[in-house]
Amino acid sequence: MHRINSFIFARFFLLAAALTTGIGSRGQSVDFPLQEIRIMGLRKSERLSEMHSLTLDTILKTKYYGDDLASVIKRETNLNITQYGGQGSLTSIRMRGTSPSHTQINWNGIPINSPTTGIIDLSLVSSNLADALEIIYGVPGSLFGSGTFGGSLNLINKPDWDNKVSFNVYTELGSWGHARGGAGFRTGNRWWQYQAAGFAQTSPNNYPYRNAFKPENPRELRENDTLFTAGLQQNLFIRLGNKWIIHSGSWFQYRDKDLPNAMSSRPRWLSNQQDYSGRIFTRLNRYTSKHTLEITCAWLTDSLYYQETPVQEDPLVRWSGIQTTYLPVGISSRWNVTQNIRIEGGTDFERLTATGSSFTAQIEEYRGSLFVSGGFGKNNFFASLDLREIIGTKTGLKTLYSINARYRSKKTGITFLTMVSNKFRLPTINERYWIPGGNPELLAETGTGCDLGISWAKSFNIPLQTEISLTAYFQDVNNWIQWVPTGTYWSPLNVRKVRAQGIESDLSVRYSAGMNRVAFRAMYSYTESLDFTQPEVVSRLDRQLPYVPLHLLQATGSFGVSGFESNLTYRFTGRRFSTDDHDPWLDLNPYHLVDAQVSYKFVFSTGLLKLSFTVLNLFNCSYEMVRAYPSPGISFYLSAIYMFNQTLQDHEKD
Amino acid sequence: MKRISSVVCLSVLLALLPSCDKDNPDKPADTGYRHGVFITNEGGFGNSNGSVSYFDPDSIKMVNHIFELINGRSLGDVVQSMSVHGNKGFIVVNNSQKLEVVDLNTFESLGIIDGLSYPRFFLPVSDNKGYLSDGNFSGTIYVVDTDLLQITDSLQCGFGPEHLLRYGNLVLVANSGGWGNDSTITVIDSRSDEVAWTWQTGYNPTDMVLDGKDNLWVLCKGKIVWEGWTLAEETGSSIEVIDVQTGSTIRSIPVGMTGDYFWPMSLGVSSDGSTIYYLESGGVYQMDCNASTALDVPLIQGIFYGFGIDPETDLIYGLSAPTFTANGWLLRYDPAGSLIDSIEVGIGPNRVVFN
Repeated sequence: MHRINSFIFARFFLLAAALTTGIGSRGQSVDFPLQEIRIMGLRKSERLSEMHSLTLDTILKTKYYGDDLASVIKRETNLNITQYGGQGSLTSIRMRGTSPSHTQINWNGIPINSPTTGIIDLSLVSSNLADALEIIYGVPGSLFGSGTFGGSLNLINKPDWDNKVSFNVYTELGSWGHARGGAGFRTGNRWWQYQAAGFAQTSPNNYPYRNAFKPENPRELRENDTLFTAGLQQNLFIRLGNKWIIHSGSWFQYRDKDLPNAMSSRPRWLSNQQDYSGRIFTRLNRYTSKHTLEITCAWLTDSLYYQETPVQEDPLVRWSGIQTTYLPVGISSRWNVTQNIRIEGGTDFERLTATGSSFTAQIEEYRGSLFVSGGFGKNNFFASLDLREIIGTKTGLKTLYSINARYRSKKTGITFLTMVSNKFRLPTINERYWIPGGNPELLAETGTGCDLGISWAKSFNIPLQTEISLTAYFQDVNNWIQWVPTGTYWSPLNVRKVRAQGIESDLSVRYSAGMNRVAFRAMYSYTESLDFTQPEVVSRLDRQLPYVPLHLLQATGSFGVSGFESNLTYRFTGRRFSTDDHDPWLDLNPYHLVDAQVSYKFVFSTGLLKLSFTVLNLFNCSYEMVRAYPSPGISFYLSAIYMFNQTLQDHEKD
Repeated sequence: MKRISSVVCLSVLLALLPSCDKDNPDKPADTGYRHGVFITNEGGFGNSNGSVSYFDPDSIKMVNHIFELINGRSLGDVVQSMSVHGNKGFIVVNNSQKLEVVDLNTFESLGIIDGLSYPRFFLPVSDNKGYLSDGNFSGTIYVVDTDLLQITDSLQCGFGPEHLLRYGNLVLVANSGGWGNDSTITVIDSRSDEVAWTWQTGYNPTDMVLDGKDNLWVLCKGKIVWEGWTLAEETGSSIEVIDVQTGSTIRSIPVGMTGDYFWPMSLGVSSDGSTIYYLESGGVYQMDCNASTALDVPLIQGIFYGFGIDPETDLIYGLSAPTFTANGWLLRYDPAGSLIDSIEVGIGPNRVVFN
């Protein structure tokens, strides 16, 4: 692995920042609004303004149409992503130094994390199936439930009540035989809206890399990393009068992925995994000036089949499968008692089942929760208290709480946010019932956290907007579950005690005048994730958890004139350890990545055609997100999207 | 003049100073790595962080990651075992499917034999030949030319060949069953590189030693049958004592307990051949070579992933692997089982090689 000259990168970045300006779309927005955002009946989105959050909406449709969530997050944020290789490889997120099972992923407010592993593979989620992505840092357990130590990613579908008929078609071809395509269709009127979107992708991922585990680092081609995936999503929105809205959705997806070996081994067997998922839900909302009611029910099913086929001799094919279902039902009711006082209450109920060759019998669990909340707001000050009681888990969980406060100074435009809360994660089905080794006596992971944030947003007389934010936080995670050898086999135990703490900063500047647009954004985070289970260390940072870098930096410059747009993204990921004791022989080098994109859109009376050319990893950096799994080098993509009866401005309506 | 004199003095002083090996300050000056102790560290499976540690018992110094230190690259995934012969070391890296050969004077890599399937152990048979066990189902013994570093022949043996043991011109192969079951020992005539006999023994023989009377002690893990990922059947473990002249079983000693289906793991023997050691889930056990029953109480209590007996001092080297995400430990005990010291080694230490 060669190291990129940091000095060259610094010079290039400064030059690029000076030359590139503007953004083709005003898609992304930092979410520190003066007023609360109501995303049509989504309880989990209504409290966005009280937390450090980021919303990506337009940019999903314009810059990343068809990309998976992993690609969007890698290129638009500085969140810590680990990926095992090329397109469609297992990708997980570690927000704020926590584990992948500590980030809750929601689809229209419904958690879609796997009940067996607690995570969701971000490469399984296609961005063209959502209208907005909300990234919320450190969400209280009293608000969102289990698995939110790091935060939450919310995929949102929204209706466009002004839409009559519109559709879009896109296609993308790229390096190493990559091909992707999809289409979306919307129709309706002010009383109902129907949306459908589908996609398919095939990526052989046979990219070249330097094998650092062999003499003289020979150049090799990645093997057994082929991906095929396809998905279909539908949403139906119905207005019944002026008070009732019904939203029903379905999402079906299939993925066939070969699993490559590490660089250090030649495949003795060929591994393959197939994932099937089906999700349907219905939500009923009733709105009045004084009262909001939300009733949700959903049914989610996931199946995973894993297979190993020996390369040589041995005709035995080993395979295993797991099937899960998740049935959540919830009701919440909120009253605006006065102009300044709000109270809310509700309950959730969940049923989980799992069957598979790794369990002795079908697993079936039931649990629920009761929650209440109160909020007070006056003169740009708002405070709230939330409580939640989890029922039926037998994991030693106590009452969850969160206290939030927000104040915005009219004079200066500065907003202050603070939050104190506790969070939890219930043990997964695998952790409790896996054969061999599962531990049904596991306790829930719990911990208290605190956020302090300050932000400033300003719109000047000239069409220039600037936003700056700074958030400091800490989050304890007690009884962190870890699989350890127990003699005969490995078992999960509540062994770890972790303190995650750090700083998140965000600066964005946007200028737009007519068809000319310039934008710059930089996000930097410093993250300590300290394992206090280790008794003897020389310094505090010797406790840093593996795969959590201290430094993450992301900077994006964009420039647009008329139909032409260009984007340049720089990302720095600091050094990461791959073992608990920071063996220096085994750590992962820091790396720099630069991506570039140019596009041109042709505007017609009925829509637009946008052609884009993208280069990822412009300087062909050799790097690993996971030890011994090489990431792709420089790659090229050509894409075209045609939108009928839509313009970019249509996507800017919230 | 003064300036020139200073330079001359400095030069003379520098010439008189002992030379420093900046790359490897811990390498013994005269013998390289030809004498000492090697610990093979598997690493975490799939994490490509296996390694070899070198221990000098005289200076009580440990050098970890010695292969990376000398060769500038990692060994690979799951360092299974190591053997030495003359000036060469032979490192079997199981999940990287290779045999890495090093010069024991410098620990520099001399070459790689790859294209293997599931390599486990290498036994030097002569100055220019060795046998390599390979296979997790049907097994193969590769005949390796250690001068040319090439495979020259192959022999079929039982399922899952593991340890190899030399007795005169014979090489014994313990067929551990691999991911299935077996109950045989393959006997190879090393003069002709042909299978001479196949002996029957207990289920899944995995390790072997010879005692002072030249009886063969075979550690048999017991039969294990899986239905999917569920353990359907398990029989008890045993140590079989075999007459190496005839291949017949002299006696069978039950060891272990129900539910310990990954144990027992390895055998050892004292320098005079009078005491046999074996590793079980409760620790390191010992028994007299004339014993017919196993003791209930271990000599050394603890959870060990491997162990070895120093052939010169009879010190017991226990290897602890508390986790596969951090380094393990070498714990040395005297023959009575009292702890002497502990030294950090690599991840997942599994074997000790005395040279």
